[in-house]
Amino acid sequence: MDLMTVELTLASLTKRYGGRKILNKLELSAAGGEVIGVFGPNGSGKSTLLRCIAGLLRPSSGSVKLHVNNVDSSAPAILRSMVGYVSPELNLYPELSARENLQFFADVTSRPSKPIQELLTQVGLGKRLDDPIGNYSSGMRQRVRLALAALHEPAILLLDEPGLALDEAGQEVVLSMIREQQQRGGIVILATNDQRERELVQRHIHVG
Amino acid sequence: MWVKETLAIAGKELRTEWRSRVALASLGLFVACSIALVALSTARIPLNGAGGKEIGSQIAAALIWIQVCFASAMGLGRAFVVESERGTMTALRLHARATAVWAGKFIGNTLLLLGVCVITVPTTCGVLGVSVKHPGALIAVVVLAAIGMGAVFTTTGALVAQTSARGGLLAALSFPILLPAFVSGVDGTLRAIGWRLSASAAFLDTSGGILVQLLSYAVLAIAASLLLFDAIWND
Repeated sequence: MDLMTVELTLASLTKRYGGRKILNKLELSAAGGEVIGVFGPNGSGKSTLLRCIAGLLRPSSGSVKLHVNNVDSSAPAILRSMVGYVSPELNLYPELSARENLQFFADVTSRPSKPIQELLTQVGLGKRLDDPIGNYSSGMRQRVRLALAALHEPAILLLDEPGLALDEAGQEVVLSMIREQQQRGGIVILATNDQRERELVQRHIHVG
Repeated sequence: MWVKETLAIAGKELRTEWRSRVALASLGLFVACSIALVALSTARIPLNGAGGKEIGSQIAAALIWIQVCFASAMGLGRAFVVESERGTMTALRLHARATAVWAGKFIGNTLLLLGVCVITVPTTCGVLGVSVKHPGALIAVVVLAAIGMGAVFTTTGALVAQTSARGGLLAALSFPILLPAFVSGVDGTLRAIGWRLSASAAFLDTSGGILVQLLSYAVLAIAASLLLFDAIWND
């Protein structure tokens, strides 16, 4: 997708689970090209915040507003289609190969997608792309998650611990993905404890 | 576009099922065991002669749909539970639109259910020595009932996947909704077998209403599911 302008606004975003307030009136305004860090200790609500931005969780109050190329894309179904999401809780089909998984997710949406073989080669899976994902190591599965997040050239890249289980080369893939998203004019929101990834962060919000 | 997305999801359902054989194995075992139990439990019932054949027809019609209902509860309810347990639901929610997900899962479930029927119906009839007078009508009854049941189990399976009490809740939610399809299925099967129909009576003349009931049920189940599923999927 060609990105001219991307604007993300969180207004008084609050999420409660039962009586416990996980996110408390968070405010954020981000524009294309920005890398925003989400910092906080374990269990502080970093993943919850990313799920709210992705349209996967409904906030208890407040709002997530996204404008892409001056079009309001804040409805949850549209919002979900505008994000690339990497998270340890997101899994792919273990019976299918990396190529079949990505082809499936390319087929179930009307949005244009990047060439799959090229994408999997970029994340370092060029030689194992026809093996079932069930036979992959955790680092290789993380690389497939990264490829899936980039499949539809998202307006917002939401990265929850993207370097998890990755070796040096894999972490380099994450860094180049972040830089590429910045250059395209997209937004990156990054929840990480990795020092190299934190160095790319321009602004941060603290949760918990 | 919607059709392409739906077919991609149905294709993925069948492909992953063929490679993992999770539902196929449990359904196959259930069908084999239930047929063996039908054969053993009816072995001492005299089913020859005019009276015996009538009893055999009634037993066959009831047992076929009991087996199909329980097999459905075992196999079809898992379509969304598997996605939730494996953590693949998040990726699907991010990429696919709700109605295409429902329709793809519904096609996969209904084909699986029809596969169960293809084994269960002729085997149960064979074990009980029941001959079918209107095989075309029996096929129509089975296909229409399977479509209706497939739609109901797909939707209730999606609801149940978001809760922790999955097994019991699926049965509690599904069976009251399935009763009309179950009753019409038994009734239609009895008529297709030829129970209390003169040899010359045409099925459509005497029992066409049952097919209309099953068709209406299937259409209503699909329409209601498509309307409801967006809320289930997005919340």
